[in-house]
Amino acid sequence: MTGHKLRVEDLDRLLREALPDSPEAGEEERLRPVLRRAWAEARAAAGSEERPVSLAGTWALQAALGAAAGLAIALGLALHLAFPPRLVADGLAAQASSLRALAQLRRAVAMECALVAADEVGRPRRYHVTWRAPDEARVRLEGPGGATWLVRVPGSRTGLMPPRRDSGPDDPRLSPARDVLSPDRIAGLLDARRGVRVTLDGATGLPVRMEAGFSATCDFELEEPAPPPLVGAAGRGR
Amino acid sequence: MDDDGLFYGRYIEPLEGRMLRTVRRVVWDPDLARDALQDAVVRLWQNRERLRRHPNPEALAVRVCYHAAVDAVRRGQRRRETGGVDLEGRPAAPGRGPAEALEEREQHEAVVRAIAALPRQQALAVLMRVVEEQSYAAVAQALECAEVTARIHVMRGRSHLRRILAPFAPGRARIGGAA
Repeated sequence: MTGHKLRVEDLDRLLREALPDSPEAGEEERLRPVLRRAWAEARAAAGSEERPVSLAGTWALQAALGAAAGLAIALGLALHLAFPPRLVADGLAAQASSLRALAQLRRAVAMECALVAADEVGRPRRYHVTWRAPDEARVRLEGPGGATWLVRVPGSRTGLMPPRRDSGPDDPRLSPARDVLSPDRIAGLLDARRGVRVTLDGATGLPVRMEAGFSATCDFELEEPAPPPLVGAAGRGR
Repeated sequence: MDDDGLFYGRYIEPLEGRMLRTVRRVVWDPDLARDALQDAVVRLWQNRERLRRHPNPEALAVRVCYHAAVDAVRRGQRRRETGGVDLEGRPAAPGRGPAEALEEREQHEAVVRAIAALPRQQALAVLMRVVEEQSYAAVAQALECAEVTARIHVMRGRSHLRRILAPFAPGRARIGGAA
């Protein structure tokens, strides 16, 4: 190379001669399958995820996903505010306490309740309920016009039975105390959860105070724990 | 038929002959030509949306094919330099003897080697304008540049080739080929 250059005309002729557009006969037909196979392989390698997606569809999908995500967040927030985890835990603890109270009430062998309720004209009346037998309770209405009833409470769900003295079963003055005539009836009241506010004794788990249209304070006497089995002693004696 | 099948039928199939001739003009070795074609098709697949929107899809396809062909020539040169393959020319044209066929092949290899030494834009511009005698407008569409820029690429490419291929000047004795 010494600075010599090919003339432009000679260069153009050389290029055209060296690069002719004259494929062999039938060559195109032989190479066409190469093109189509390469296209098919490129498609297969790319996979369906590389298919062209219209921009409008993409934005619509993104908008829908965004809306769904926002809705999910709002719903989660609403649920969180409506039922915070602490309340859920409290609810579970209350459930456990309630079950324990019901179990303890079944162990009661005696009960006394002081109850204050409004009579039919709204005056506060004080009742004193004494329960010592499975099917019998004594109810004493204190104050002016007071009375004492001996009420049969067979089972745990029966209504007032005819009293032995003083008043008939339909005496409206007795009705405020009907839910606290026995431990079983109190258990039914708690189990029904009819808007009763209950204060449980931390040691025994028993209800010591209840408010449900009335205010009642209760004191229970529980059965003695079962004595230890004698089998072990007998075995050791042999 | 799915979208891609329709795309091939609409955009690629009409260009099949053009693509084949474009590659074969540069690459005479059948294996390298097949490689170049596969490479070109993969590039077109990857740029199919661009091809769909292109004002002159044929120009874009030609560009892709020439680039793939020049790349194949470069790969062939490297393989031959390391003793991998021997470039095979096309059969001698009817009426030409073995000596003429050999001279034709040497001339082709020298020209292709010179074009492969150019920057890609210049190589494409020269191939389209000088060899195919396309308009500058078509060259500009293929290069996706202004027409004046296409002219500059052609001019610079010619200038480089005139120097590289100077041994092929009429009346000059070539010793060992060009470049």
